[in-house]
Amino acid sequence: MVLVYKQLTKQMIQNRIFVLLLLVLTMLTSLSFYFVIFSIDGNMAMLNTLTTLTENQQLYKNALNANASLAYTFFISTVLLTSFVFVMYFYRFYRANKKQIGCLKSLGFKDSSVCACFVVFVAVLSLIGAILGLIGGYFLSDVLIHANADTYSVIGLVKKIRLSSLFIGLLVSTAIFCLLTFFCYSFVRGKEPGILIAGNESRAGFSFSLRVANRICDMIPTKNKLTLRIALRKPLSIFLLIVAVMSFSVCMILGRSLNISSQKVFDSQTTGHNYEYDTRYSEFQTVPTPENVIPYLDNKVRLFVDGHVIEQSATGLYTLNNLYELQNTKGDILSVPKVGEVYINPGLHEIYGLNIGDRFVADIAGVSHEVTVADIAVNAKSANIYVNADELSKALNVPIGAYNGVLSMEKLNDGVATTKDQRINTLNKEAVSNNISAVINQCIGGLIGAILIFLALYASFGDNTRDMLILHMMGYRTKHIRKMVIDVYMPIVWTVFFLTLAPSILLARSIQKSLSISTNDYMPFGTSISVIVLVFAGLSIIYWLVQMLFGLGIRRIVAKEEISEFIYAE
Amino acid sequence: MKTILKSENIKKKYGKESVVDGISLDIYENTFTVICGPSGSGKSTLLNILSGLIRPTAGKVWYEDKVISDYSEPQLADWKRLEVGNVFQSYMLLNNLTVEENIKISIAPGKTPLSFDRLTRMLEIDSILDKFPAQLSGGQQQRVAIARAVIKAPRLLFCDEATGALDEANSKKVVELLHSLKSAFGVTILFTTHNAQIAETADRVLTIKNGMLHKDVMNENPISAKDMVWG
Repeated sequence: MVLVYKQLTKQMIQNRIFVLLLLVLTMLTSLSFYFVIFSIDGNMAMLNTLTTLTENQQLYKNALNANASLAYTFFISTVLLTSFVFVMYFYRFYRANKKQIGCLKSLGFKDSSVCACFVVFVAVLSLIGAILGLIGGYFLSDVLIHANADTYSVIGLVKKIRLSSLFIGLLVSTAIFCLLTFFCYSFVRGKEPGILIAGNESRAGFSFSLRVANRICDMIPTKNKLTLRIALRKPLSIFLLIVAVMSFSVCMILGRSLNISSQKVFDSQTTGHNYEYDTRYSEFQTVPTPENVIPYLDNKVRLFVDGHVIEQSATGLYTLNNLYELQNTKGDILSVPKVGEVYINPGLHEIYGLNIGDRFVADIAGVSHEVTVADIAVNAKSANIYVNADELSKALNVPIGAYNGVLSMEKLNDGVATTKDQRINTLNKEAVSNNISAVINQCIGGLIGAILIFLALYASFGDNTRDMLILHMMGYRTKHIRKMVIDVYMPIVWTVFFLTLAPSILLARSIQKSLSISTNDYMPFGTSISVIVLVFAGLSIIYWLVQMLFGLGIRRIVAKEEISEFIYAE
Repeated sequence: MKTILKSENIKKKYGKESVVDGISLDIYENTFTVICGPSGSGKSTLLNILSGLIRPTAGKVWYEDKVISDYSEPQLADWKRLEVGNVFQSYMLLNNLTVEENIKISIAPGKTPLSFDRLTRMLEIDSILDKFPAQLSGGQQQRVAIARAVIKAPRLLFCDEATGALDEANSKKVVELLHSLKSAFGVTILFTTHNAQIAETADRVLTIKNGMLHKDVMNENPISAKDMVWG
């Protein structure tokens, strides 16, 4: 059995680039997780022991919750992507090595024994990757911890990890990859050794996939159809390219959108917010306010929207003036909402799909009120809805004219005031935290996307090695071969990019929406032409890199006269 | 007889091992030459050197008055594209192209190809033009490979164990076809084989042993491919 392990391991590591990339992917999977988790677990445990939290500590705790959610989302995404690459690797491996496996089976080795070799190999590979990621994550988490300490002015931050987190990062991913390997063995499981050795068991399936691809080829009007046919008749390669290009686009668009969202939130919380002081009172006030201020009523409210229960604040406005200019999506200045109407924030519109004219139930002080969305206030305070103050005071059973908050240009004598500078400072802190998360996502997402696209192109080019050598033997020059078999992938990559651009944007948008719901933190989606250009440029660079590597590889094979070996190996 | 291809003391070494050791010979135009010899004798390496697939370690290969062994890579590619056809034991068809496309991909620009219809009818593959290689039998694949090699009207056709993977009936058919192609289109054919019967159909038989030319026999009375008796 030792010899079987030796034989199969050698066969598996023959494709060094693929195995190395799998190791890098397993490492990145655990690195992206531990990098964030090391900065969270210990500090979250410490914050949970405190009975009261300062404002900064509360902000820090919110940021940790958001980061934890992002870390798990990213962990799941990277595990899925790495799983996809594992499936890709084994599909190609079994296709290329079925004769060898058939030979082992003909020698009397059972499927279970052969399969166990692959599982053990993957277990070792992913454990090594996970441990490397753990070590890398431990050291890299310093960056996050220092950034958090600076941003939230909190001291005594520690670097610790819970046993359960350690287990998830190390063993869960490894177990998933091993399970996947076990299932991937079904490419050859139960097949008779003779059929595997003959290597012709799938003639019908092969011709079916080719027939489908052929139909597609016939539909495409192109000058040099033959070249395109060579590429398009490899449906698996095309499928891989679509998945890889789309994953890359989604990762980049999402990362950039998270980045843009910080600025969007900052803008929405400063545009039209012209007051210098926001003064809050613990008790409802009935003392008349000076002129040129905006008194308001503020109370927690629960909204029931399409099965979601959303915690928000309801702000009852008696008046609006140039201190606070609520604006709708068209830029029109809004007046005080009428009875039975509300202005919602953009988060409720984008995440929960509430639109002007929609009705929903709001639970204020234990009493349900049905209200109508009158408009969307783009510069609403975060997690706020705006209602008529008279209506809210009735709901809260306080006298009309009562208030527990005042927006003003001058400092008032009583109450707890938040200055404009403090407000902007807090927004900046949140923006820094969101930016850090965005940069992490963008870097890791971009890297994983790049690896995927590299692998897809590498696999496509690899599939063409035989064709290239045959064309070389037929007298085609290297540049013609390159034009026929390699260059054709460039327009395919571009076409796939443009075709999948809209779905990628929609997917990135829905992922960000899910993140907003799970973290209860509105992250507006945003993208721009420059992001799309960036993704396009990234794709092109990766393409050229793989093309160059592969071009060198082909030249090496031809130059080393491996052609004769290739002829006899067939 | 006019010499179309000539080797001058060609040698091929892999490390210290000498595979072809100083072979000089002339190949005459419009002949069917068989190169035979035991496994490992160097016959396939000799064929690959003559067809420009690999370069000799020493010596020269002449095509008419040109030294093709000194050609640059693009020059050699052009020569192969215009003048040479190759047929291999393992067919070497492009799996993702149909039979028709596999044949047409070989047509060299600026050179009048043979009649596609005539050739495919002659090789009895005119009814399978829309099929893919995986849908064909070994014999059919080899006939497609021959069509691909011949469509461009090459002056030289190199066949390396072209019947090695075929049964008796298909092997006979292939040899018959090659002889017909020689007669019909004036192609010069070099054919490596272990098979003594195929050698009996040839105009000339070269025997290679330990990388050297052991025998060079002109066959005065070649038998017809139809009369071959499989041992």
